Amino acid sequence: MIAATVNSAEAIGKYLARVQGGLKQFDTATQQEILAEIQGHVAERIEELKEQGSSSPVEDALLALGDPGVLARQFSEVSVQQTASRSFLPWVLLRVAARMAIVGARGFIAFFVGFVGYVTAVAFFVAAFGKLFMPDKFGFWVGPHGIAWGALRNTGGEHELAGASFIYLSLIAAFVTGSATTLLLRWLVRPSGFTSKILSRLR
Amino acid sequence: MYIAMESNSNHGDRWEAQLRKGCLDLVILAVLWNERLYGLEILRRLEQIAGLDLAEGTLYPILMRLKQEGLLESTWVEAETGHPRKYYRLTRAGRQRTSKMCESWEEFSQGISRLLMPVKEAAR
Repeated sequence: MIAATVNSAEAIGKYLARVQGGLKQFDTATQQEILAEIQGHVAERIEELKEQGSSSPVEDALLALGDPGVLARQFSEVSVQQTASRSFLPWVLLRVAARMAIVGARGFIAFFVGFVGYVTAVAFFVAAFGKLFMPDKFGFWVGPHGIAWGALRNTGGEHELAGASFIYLSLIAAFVTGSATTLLLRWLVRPSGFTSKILSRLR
Repeated sequence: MYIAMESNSNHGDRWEAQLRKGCLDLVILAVLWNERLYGLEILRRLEQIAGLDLAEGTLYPILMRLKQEGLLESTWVEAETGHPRKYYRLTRAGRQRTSKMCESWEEFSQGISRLLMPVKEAAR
């Protein structure tokens, strides 16, 4: 009887340790809270299973909770969204938006906004460098075909208006577009708030 | 033929699983509408009231997410079993969201029911 109790405690301990192993991104207090909740669940399930006459209540209780690695990963995904809403890194924000896009309209909108915004920022940045090395090809062009910001496509009488200031203006535009996209994306992937309420209606 | 039938069956299972998965937030919020409950109680209520057999490990990450979204709040309460229980209840935002989701569900299910009417009649 004592041996069985020790084995049960050991099995539960191993399970919880494996869950904890996948919760590294959480602070200690959150890890402990998650583990306490799971431990409480397992304890009550064991009692239930004993009453139902299970011959291996501990194994059955742990089996019903599923693979500890998968359980930890599900918690981690919640954390990733939380972390992303605090991040300023474009690739972190885009990665989370891409994950969210798989499951709902909110994620799709976030990913679309992020992708378009960052591509535009990069395009401004490339235009600034283009002007630096190929001043005749890049600029703010006005001509019979309309106006264009960037590389010259037509040779039908376009005039370049910005001159050297095109570099500064493009860099400012790249910075403003990139920053605005980052702020908007952080707002969109935030797990709570006004945006979530609006976008939840679109789900 | 066997393969095709198996494939259809798998597709049907997958579709049903997706359908259930899509409703999880709503059913969890709905079960907390009148009372505060802890994890195992939520699972039992879902099983008893709606016949939903939710995978146990799936529940807790969802509860965590809903809490982070500000829709739920939790309190630890000492229990006679010796293990403290983490009780969840709806916040004000949670009640508002649940109402909205309920309205959307009603509209959606009524629309689908109308669409399925000929199918049901043909099946009789």
